[in-house]
Amino acid sequence: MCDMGAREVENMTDLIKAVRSAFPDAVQEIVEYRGETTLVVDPAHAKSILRYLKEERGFNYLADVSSAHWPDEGRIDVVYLPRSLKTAEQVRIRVPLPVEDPSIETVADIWRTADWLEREVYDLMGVTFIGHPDLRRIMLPEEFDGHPLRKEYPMEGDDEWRNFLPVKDTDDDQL
Amino acid sequence: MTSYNRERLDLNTEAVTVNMGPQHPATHGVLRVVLTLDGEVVLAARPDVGYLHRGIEKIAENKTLHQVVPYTDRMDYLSPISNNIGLALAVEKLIGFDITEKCRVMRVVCCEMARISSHILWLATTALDIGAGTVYFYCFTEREKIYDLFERMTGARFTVSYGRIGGLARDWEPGLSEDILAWANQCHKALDECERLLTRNPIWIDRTQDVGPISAEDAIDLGLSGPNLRASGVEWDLRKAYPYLGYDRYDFEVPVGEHGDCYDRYLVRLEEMRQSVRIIQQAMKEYDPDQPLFPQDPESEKVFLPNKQRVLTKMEELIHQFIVATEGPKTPRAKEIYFALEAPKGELGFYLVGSGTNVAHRCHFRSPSFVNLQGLPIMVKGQMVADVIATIASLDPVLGEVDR
Amino acid sequence: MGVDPKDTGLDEQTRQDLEMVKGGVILSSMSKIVDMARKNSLWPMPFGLSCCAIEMMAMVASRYDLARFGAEAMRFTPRQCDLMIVAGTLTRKMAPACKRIYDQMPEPKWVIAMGVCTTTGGMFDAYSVVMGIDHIIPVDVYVPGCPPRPEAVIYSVMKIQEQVMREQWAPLGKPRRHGHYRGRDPRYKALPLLDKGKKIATKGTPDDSQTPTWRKGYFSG
Repeated sequence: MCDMGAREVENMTDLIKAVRSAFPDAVQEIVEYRGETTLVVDPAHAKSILRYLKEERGFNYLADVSSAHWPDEGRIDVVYLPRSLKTAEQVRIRVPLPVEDPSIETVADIWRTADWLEREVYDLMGVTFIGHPDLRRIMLPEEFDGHPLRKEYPMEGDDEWRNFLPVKDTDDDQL
Repeated sequence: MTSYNRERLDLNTEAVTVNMGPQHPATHGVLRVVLTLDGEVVLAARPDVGYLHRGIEKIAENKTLHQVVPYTDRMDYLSPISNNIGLALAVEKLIGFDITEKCRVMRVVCCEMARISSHILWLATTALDIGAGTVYFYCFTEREKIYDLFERMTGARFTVSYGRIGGLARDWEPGLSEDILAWANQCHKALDECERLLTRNPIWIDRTQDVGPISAEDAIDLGLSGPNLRASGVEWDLRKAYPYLGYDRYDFEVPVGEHGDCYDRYLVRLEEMRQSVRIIQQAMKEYDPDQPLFPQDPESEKVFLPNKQRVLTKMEELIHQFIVATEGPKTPRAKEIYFALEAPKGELGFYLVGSGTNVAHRCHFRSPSFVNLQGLPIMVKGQMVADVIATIASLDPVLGEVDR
Repeated sequence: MGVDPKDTGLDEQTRQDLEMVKGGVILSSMSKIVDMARKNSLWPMPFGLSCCAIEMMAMVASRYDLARFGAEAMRFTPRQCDLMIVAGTLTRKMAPACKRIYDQMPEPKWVIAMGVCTTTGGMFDAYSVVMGIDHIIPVDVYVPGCPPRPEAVIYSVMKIQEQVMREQWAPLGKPRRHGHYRGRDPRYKALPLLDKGKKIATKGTPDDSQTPTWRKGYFSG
């Protein structure tokens, strides 16, 4: 079993205290699960916390930018995973965004890794990243409509993108 | 780094946009690179991916956890066992499951064999792209031996779906472990042969030294991982940093390069193959065929598929097989984990969010090749068109993983 | 020890022909010679998209040698090839490129759909995958498998060779079209059409809605 980040538990508490003192009302929740720490942060302060992590605490590597859609709670989470290569510390920053207007400031100027990772989140989940140098679709063709990773988008394709309809009936004579 | 800036005195030149299209012999799959050229010198390169986007993450939100395993095979299709084992480890971390010692040893051997087979195919295609066709055939001969072992182990040549949640698909037959060790002991001959052909070859050195360089700061900032990061001088290996599967007990070195050019990436990967052989040799000493593959306590039997012989003859195992195959393990609601594996390409991460049912709410694969390919425009700026080919080859992108 | 023609019960004409062959002369028809030359020197165009491409590479490597069948000249430009091996999943973004490459190949051309992803879409029933390449190009041989073993693909090349032998090359006649083309499903509105412009025959083309799918070929003949 792997224990990412659980080795330096004292460092984690120290880190959380530092973040809390620097940004008093930004951290909404702290979750610890299987040795991993997640800080749930509100969207207005997310970029400053990430910048603080990189510049003050030495988290020089961004491992992942991901997202999750919770339709019954009406939110889209954007998840960042900064990591420090010197001390092997890792913390997860989760930012819940409202589903009606999911937009957040880009971190591509902090870590260049976020360039394509944010484009992918924009493409598949529909989150707009304000200030991104080149926010275009990356996985799907430019003329595609819709954001497939949202829960309401069917797996086989939808007539949202009117070019591509799912084949519903299997009766050969009908085709 | 050689600079190719030339001063044109009175010629009226303009930059040409050339499309290195999705169908190309040397783009390692369906990758499109839009090059802006001044003559032969690259001014800008813009990779365009998505030509193999199969929606695996969306599919994984509709399948039970056991059913996601074959999809992970097809992501990094040069080393499918690594991906399977990675998903298995990630799910085991999410649901809190411990594997047995024998399973751990077998998984280590499988991961390292996958690493060797992936790097060997990388060497074959890179050499073919740069022009050394003989190496392709030597490497494929070695890879066929690995395929034979995989076939005896799992039934398939490379898209194996062997790593399962809770363990592995089936036990090894008697005699297989000795054959794996025998193969590992003679594997260095093929590597020596390829090294004799390439490492001190002046044409190879001319084509790969100082080609596609990237500094350590740029590499960290761009999020490169795996041999690409290590060739730039950053000593970072997930097997040493966050040891999983008991890698901290094995004695192996992590090769680190200096200049971050294609030649260093080549040397790092060659050395990684030799270190993998060392790990296999050490792990096989710990392999004990008489131990059970799966844990024996009844609580954990809800996670993995039971032994097929017993399923066909005993009622209890039949019921277990039915429950596990149709339902499988349940994920805890709103709990998320991130597990990263040192895949041959770099850091393969699995971000799983549980939903309370047996289907994951969100299954995101952080693929190393996707993030590595971001470094391409910076690596080829100011180089020649042929160097673009060499750089793409040395970055080792696998488009199944890039596009998922 | 050779077999004496007198002992095999052959008739006189055949025995005389065999004597000529021993002298280095073969009598045959022009179409058979051309077809034999074509089938033994197929130049495949490897349209490798994903995992099946690795098995295609293994097929060309020294263990399952495709060079035995004369087909090792894998030219990546369609202008010089006559056999297109589509290996891997075809996505909606890649479909126009696939069709374009097929159009750029000169006649006569054959297509092998390697793997289940090209045959019917495979395990990827997703929003961005074309469920089978025969929605856009006519296919001669389908090879199931995920991925198919290299021996299976070599067998498919042998089947293509049988189809080549049935070509009956006729330089003064119309080129024969062949291949199974499921036809562009009318619901797939924006996939590229096989033939833009004048339709030569309606039977077997996408507009023919009366013929059931399994009978549809491309210019059935």
